[in-house]
Amino acid sequence: MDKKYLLKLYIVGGTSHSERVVAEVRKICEEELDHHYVLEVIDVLEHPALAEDERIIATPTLIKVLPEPLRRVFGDLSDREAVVLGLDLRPLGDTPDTDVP
Amino acid sequence: MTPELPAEGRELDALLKALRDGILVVNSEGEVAYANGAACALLGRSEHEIRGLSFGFPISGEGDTDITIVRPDGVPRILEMRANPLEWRQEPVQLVVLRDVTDQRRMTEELHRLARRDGLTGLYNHVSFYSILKNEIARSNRNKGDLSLLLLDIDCFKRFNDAFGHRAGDAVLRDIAQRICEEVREIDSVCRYGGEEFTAILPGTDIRGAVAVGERIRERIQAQPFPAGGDRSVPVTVSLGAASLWADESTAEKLVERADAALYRAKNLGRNRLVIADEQGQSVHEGAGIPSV
Repeated sequence: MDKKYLLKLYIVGGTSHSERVVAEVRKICEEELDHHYVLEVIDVLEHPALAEDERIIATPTLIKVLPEPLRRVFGDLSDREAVVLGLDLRPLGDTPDTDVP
Repeated sequence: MTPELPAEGRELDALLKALRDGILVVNSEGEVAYANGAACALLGRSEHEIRGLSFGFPISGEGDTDITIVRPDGVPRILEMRANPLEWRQEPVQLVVLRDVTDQRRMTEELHRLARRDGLTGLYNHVSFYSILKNEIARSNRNKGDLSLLLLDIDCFKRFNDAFGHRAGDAVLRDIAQRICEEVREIDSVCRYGGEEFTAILPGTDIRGAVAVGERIRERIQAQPFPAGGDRSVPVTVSLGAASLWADESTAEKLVERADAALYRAKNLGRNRLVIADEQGQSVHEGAGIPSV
């Protein structure tokens, strides 16, 4: 029932570009996942250790932590189709878990 | 890197190694299957560290996209990236081409900033003024909202410059720019229109609001004399013209013309005052006890 997506967005913050990326990713999540998600935004310059844990090299990187399997995309995150495809985002409950490859 | 490569593969490998652009091959798991020397240098890591690294699925949209690389030395670099799907060793992969554009991007940013700003005061310059005003007029027409414009000119500035020198004059320009900025809101745009002429674009503000802002600015400038070298400080005053956008008016030039005519009236009526456009030269606010010149 309370199943949620857990997504982590890694950025280099403090620029208008990074603010735009965060807004675009939020919009995609909101429209594709309809509230069933938690999005954590991590500034890799402020939290280098967190970035190191996930071995983040390039930003922006968006990681789908849950549900498994873990998937990650980076680059132009405003490309909705590629983000949805790359992370395998779909509304929860629509598809049985067994369908996940 | 790959001992099983056939002869032509080795030639290709040598070619890729010689390229200045960084080349990565990312497999469908998002792992780096190949990185050339330039890619390793751009990412600030050895080939050993990069091979097999979970990088993620690259997205470059329609053309190129910028990514920021945080190197182990902590210095972020901006790379232009292009990703293309490719069949590689019978496997669908993404070929990623990387180029360091950090210096270009910083220079472009700086040029943009310089092109929009007046060097002395840091305010928007004449060119930016018109582009901002045109945008705000379009927005007001769309939303049927108010928009006002203040035009401000320093009184007898040439005389100040002649008497106290250009260095003191420049300081006055900077100081006045500062005082204007402190009397307006974040959404207002203050510009240096010309030599000693300034403008303030006030979105969502009717003529009464504009008069209130203009009067605050005028009083603020009049209240505090300006340094004129040594221990001297000298009072400086300004004249203002205020105009609001008419419903059927759509050109920036017309609005500026009306504000300018009001400013001209303010000068003729004795300076240190604000005149509203189209009020037949009625001086709505007189300066307090400053003799007209």
